[in-house]
Formats: sequence, C-alpha cells, structure tokens
Amino acid sequence: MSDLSDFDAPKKPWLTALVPAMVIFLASGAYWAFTSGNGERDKHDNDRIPANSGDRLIAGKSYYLYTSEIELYPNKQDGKPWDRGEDGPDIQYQIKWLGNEIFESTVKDDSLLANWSGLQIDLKWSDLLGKTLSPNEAIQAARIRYETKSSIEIVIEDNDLAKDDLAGTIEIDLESLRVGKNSRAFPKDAGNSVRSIIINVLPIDSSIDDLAQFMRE
Amino acid sequence: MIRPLILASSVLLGIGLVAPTMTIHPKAGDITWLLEIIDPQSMEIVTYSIVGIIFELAVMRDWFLVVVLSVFSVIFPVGKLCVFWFYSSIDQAEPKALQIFNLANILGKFSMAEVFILSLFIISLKSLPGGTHVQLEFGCGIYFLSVISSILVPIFIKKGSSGFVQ
Repeated sequence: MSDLSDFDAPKKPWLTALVPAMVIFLASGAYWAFTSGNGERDKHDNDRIPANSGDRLIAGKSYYLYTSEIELYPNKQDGKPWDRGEDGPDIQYQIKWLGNEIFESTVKDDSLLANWSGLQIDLKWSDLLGKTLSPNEAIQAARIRYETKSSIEIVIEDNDLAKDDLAGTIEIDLESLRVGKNSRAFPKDAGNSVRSIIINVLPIDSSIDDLAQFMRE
Repeated sequence: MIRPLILASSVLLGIGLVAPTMTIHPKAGDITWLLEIIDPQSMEIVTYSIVGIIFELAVMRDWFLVVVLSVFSVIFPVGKLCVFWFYSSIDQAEPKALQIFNLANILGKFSMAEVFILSLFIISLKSLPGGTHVQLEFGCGIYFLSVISSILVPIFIKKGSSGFVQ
C-alpha cells in the first residue's frame, strides 16, 4: 500500500510553487502583447513637421528672416583675391528693410561658403551669475512684417580690418519668398560676386519647438 | 479564498511590472526651451514601467540599482507569492508548513514593493530641480493593488488556520 501512495504522490511538489510565477509571466506577456502596437515609448508628438513650410507669406503678418547659407565666387568682382595671401573672405551680411538696417550677422572668417544658424547664444562669464535667457535673445534673425510689393535688401561683405569689400547687394521681393528655405543663385558680374544664398522665413508666432527644429536643420 | 487572492495578486503584479508606472516631465527652469533645442533627447517626456526602469538602469550600467530594484521589487514579491501558493497547496498540519509560512513572512519583509510604491508617491509629490516632475501612471496603481492583495494573503492564511501554532 505504501508503495502505491508513494507512486501517486507528486515527485516534485515544490513545482506547484511556480504557478504564481507562471501567472505573473503570462499576465506580463499578455499585457505587453496587447499594448506593443502602441510603441515602447510615448513619443509625445515628437515627429511633428515644422508648420506651414512652403506657404506664401500673409500680408500684415510678422516673420523671422535670416540667411542660413551664402556662397561667394572665388574672386572679387574685379577678379582680385578677397584677402591678401591665400585667406578667404570674412563673410558678413546685413538685412535692410524699408531703408533701415535691421539685422547684422556675425562674421564667418576665411570661408567661401558660410553658414549661420537662426539660433545663437553668446554667453559671457558674467552670465553664469544668473542671467535669464529668453528665446527672443537666441533667435538671430531679422524681424519683418510682410506687405505686398515690399522688399528687403541683403548686403553681403567681406569684413576686413581696413575697408570692407562689398560682395553684392541683393534685393529680394518679399512676394517671391515662401515660408521655409528659399534658395537663390546669381551670376558673377561687375557688381556681384555672390554665387548663391539661402534665405529662411519663419512666422514669428511659430512655436519654439517648430523654430528650433527648423533652425537646427 | 487564499488561492484566488494569490492568483489575483499575481495577475496584478504581472501587469504592474510592465504597465506604465511613471512619466518624467524634464524641465530646466528658465532655460528649458534652450535645452529642448540643444539636447532635445534629454528633454523628451519619458514613460517608464518598473521593468523599463530596470532595463534603462542596465543600459546605463548602474548594476547596483539594477540588482537592488530587481531583487526587492520583482524577485522577492514574486517569490513571496510562490511560497504562499506552495503553502496553500500542502497539508498545513505538516511540520514543514510552519517553516514555509515563516519563509513567506521573511520574503515579505525583504520585499520592498511597499517602500518602492511609497518612494514613487513621494517623488511625484515633490517637485524636482528645474521644475522637473514625475507623474504616476496607472501601472503604479496596479502594482499598488498587487502589493495590497499580497499583504492580505497571510492575514487570510492566519484566519483560515485558527489552530495554527507559531
């Protein structure tokens, strides 16, 4: 009789202890399988596209305008080199609107192809003592209001210690601009040695996220 | 009553371990907007589950916290339920039943699930530097219910075995 009861008894009774572990595992797996279609992390709208890219400008609305790229021809209008020796030009541009200079860029030393970001922060040591930074300070762009038949002037120079050399003055009809990137190319002539320019236009009321995403590109 | 409670606690624990537990909303005070530009990845709103936190810590190679969190928030709570189940499946008059019940109590003491939940509550109530805040998600509630039901199990066991001698 005792042999029979030994045979009937489970060989490893502690295995039943694994039932809760199995249930936990199955519950986890079921939950994971049920929700895995939603992605591992909630991205919280991170894949947004900068708004209104390619749209026409709206009359009466204000915009940020800056140049993200300027390329100059290898020589000045008269065929002479930009700087003494083999140094490239130190490119800087100003934006004029309604006859007033409203923005001046930083100087990009020794470059034929210069790039600017619309975002720039110049921190000094004193700023570490508690300066508050606003997005407005960081946005390096002209602020303009679009009106039909209005234009801007972009003056591009080789910034020198003695005398700045004018690379070209480009007049842009605001009606021809679109929200986003606007590329223009120019032939070299007696008054121009700017090969190309990329002008960026963004609505001032864009969210900081949209501005940052666009200006970072 | 005991076994369904253990099963319910197990289901809740299983879901509570993988369901969203907390969402971190990173902020950097006045320069939040700036960090969103410079380092957008670090400023992303992130939701973690308990298992997700452990994996994240493992990626960061913070092995001490990985072990602490795994042992006290996963292994001991699971082990406690397993031992309770085993206890409920054997003859409670057997001498080894007392040992198993004591083992479950010891595991219960080392299971820091309650402390973990409490610390999550405190973190969610306290605002962190720069305005960063932690928002508790429903997974935290499910894990909390699992903790409560696992606390109830030994109470029911004691009630059920009135002749039980400790």
